[in-house]
Amino acid sequence: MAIPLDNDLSKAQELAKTAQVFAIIALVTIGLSILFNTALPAVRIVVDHAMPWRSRVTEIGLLAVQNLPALLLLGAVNRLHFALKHYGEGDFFSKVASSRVAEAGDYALQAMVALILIVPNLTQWIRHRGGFDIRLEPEYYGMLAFALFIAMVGRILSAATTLKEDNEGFV
Amino acid sequence: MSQIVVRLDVMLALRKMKAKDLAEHIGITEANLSLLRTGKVKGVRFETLAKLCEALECTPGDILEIESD
Repeated sequence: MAIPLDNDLSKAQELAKTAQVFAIIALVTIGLSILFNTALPAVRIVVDHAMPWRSRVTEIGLLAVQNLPALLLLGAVNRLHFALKHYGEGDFFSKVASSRVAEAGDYALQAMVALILIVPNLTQWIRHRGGFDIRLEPEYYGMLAFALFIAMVGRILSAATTLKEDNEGFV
Repeated sequence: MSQIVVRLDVMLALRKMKAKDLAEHIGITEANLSLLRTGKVKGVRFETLAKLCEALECTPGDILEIESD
């Protein structure tokens, strides 16, 4: 038996609202994790006067660099949270919501680039080792592709909502 | 640039028909018909135009007119 469209939409709306709560939990968890893994150790290093200042700067720099992917993923989840907020309000065909999905993909893509290229190289340079390093694990290919596809889907959704808005101008 | 002007009000007056009845007859909302009457839409579908002509017993030329600057 076919379910009425209104029922489907209200179910989707409820799902978006639930997902939005999970997105907030994820944001808080990532935020706290960054705080405990970066800010608190950084404060400990700053107040550790037994360590030479140069080593302190190096260690703080390393902490900041190593948390760059997490910070970018925080941005991605934040953008998805905004998109879910729109969907939760029943604003399924909004250009803003689909742009947020595209932005989330962009952030996730940047996080993957940071993980593969930026973090290993900056770590090398901060430690004065020099050279070029690239970290490629098998799962990174999948995560990179996933992020790329989310960014693309967001752009396709954005184009589709523009088309819908255009069609709505016709009676 | 020339522009298309919607003469729906004239046709409604000639046929002594209310906008509400016309909207109901052709199956569009009163709000959309009002937008069409005031020319605030990007375009009109052939399907809607055909229904309008049928309801008002006229041709597209009676409803739409081109106006030069």
